[in-house]
Amino acid sequence: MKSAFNATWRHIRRSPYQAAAAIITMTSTFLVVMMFALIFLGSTLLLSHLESLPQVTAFFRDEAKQENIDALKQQLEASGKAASFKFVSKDEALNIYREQNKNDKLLLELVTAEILPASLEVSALKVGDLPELAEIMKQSSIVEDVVFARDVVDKLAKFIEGTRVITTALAILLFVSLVFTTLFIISLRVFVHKDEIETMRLLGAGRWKIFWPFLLEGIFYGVFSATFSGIVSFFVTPLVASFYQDIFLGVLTLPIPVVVYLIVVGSGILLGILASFIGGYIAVNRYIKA
Amino acid sequence: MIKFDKVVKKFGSTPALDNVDLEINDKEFVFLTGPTGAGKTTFFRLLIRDLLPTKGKIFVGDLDVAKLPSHKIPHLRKKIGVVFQDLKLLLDRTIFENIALPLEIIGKTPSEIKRRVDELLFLVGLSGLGVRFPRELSGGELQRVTIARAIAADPQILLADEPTGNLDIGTSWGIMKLLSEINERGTTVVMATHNMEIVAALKKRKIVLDKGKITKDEKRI
Ligand SMILES: Nc1ncnc2c1ncn2[C@@H]1O[C@H](COP(=O)(O)OP(=O)(O)O)[C@@H](O)[C@H]1O
Ligand SMILES: [Mg+2]
Repeated sequence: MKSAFNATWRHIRRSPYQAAAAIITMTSTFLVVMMFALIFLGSTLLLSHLESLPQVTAFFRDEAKQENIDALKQQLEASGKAASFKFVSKDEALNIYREQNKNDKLLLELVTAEILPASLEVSALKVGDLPELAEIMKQSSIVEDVVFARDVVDKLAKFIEGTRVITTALAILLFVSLVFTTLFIISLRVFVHKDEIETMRLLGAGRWKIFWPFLLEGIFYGVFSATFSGIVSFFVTPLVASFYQDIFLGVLTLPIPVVVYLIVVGSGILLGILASFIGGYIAVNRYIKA
Repeated sequence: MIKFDKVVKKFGSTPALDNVDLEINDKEFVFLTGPTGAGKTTFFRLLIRDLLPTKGKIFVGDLDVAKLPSHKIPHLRKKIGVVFQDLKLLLDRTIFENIALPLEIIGKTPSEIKRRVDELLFLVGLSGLGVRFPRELSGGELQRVTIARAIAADPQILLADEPTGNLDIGTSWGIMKLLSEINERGTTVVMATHNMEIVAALKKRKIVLDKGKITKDEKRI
């Protein structure tokens, strides 16, 4: 094992430009993959948050009794599509109204609890389910009016769907490109050392004896590139993310917890090791005659 | 120690070795002679399972070489030291590192390796040259390096493929002296050469190959 480390170190030291090129190529690929993974994860978190935001609101008739309202709520719950409920009674509605218009005496005097209706705000687990929930509400006899911004909801649903498809496709593409990059680099390194491999074999070296230095070299590149790009993306992603948010979402923040960074860097390292393993194995085997 | 039983090796349709039957005993010194293209190198490559015979059986000790599963090939190759016709030295490693290769392969510790390589450098008359790279040595010196590497891990058999191939006569005799010494220490030596002067001078067994066939096998001991 120690001699494998020595061999790896010798490979790197004796062709530093190739090693540098390998590291740079892998690091830049990793960087793109990681930033993408982070933005993908961040926007997934954000989108699922957004999806639960749009609400449909039912305004109740004055004669609606609490038990009727509760029954409607249960009916909505039973559909399995509602995410949350918020009941606003006549008194609460008045309070909200007063709070909103506290600087305008005239408006305050005009309104009493009697003329503000009680309401139930419902959000859906999936945006696309809102119309269905609205329909249930409309059919209830105690409901005066149902309000929801259908256009906004439809557009948001389409946007969310589109974003998911595109980010997933890009993430897969980049993943594949990363595996191929590693494969290519390790193959190149093996190719450069093919005489050495042949000689080692003829002198009686086993497959693994030959394999280890290249595997370690690949692992070294993988770990180094993944860690380095992890650190860089930790600082760069928030900038990119804020740009992304400014375009689409305005005030909302993209919440990427540190744990997510650690997970992404960790999977990057594992991915690097895996790709090196596969790449090294394929490449070395090509130059070892059985 | 070595046994060929009706061995045929064909490349395409022309045989490089044709129905070769021979036995070489433990601790023997054997010359394998014949013109270029006679099949000498092919004979060696078959022995270390770098090639598979088209027909026939090959034994090294109790190993049936052609039937050896591929994970046992290293085991066979560790029994046989080879001085390759094209040397096969690693040009980006020092003389010391080149000689150390077989020792590394069998898993010797760095201090064991250091001791053994110094010993070998002394034996082949290259003490002090361990730090140099192959391109900094003469042809005769490089031959010595490959001999040192071939015997580093104490193989039972040493195959030397034209080790005096392109050396002047003085240097060649130095190499022959070294191979004889190695043989006297108990290693079976098979040396391929077409230098008849050397073959004639050393009273050893001579096997003559021509177009893949054994045409003579003279035991002179
Ligand atoms: N890998 C190969 N492919 C095709 N023909 C080969 C190969 N190796 C050797 N030969 C042929 O086999 C014959 C014996 O070659 P070789 O064993 O190298 O002879 P020697 O070592 O006695 O000069 C020659 O005719 C050579 O051209
Ligand atoms: Mg030859």
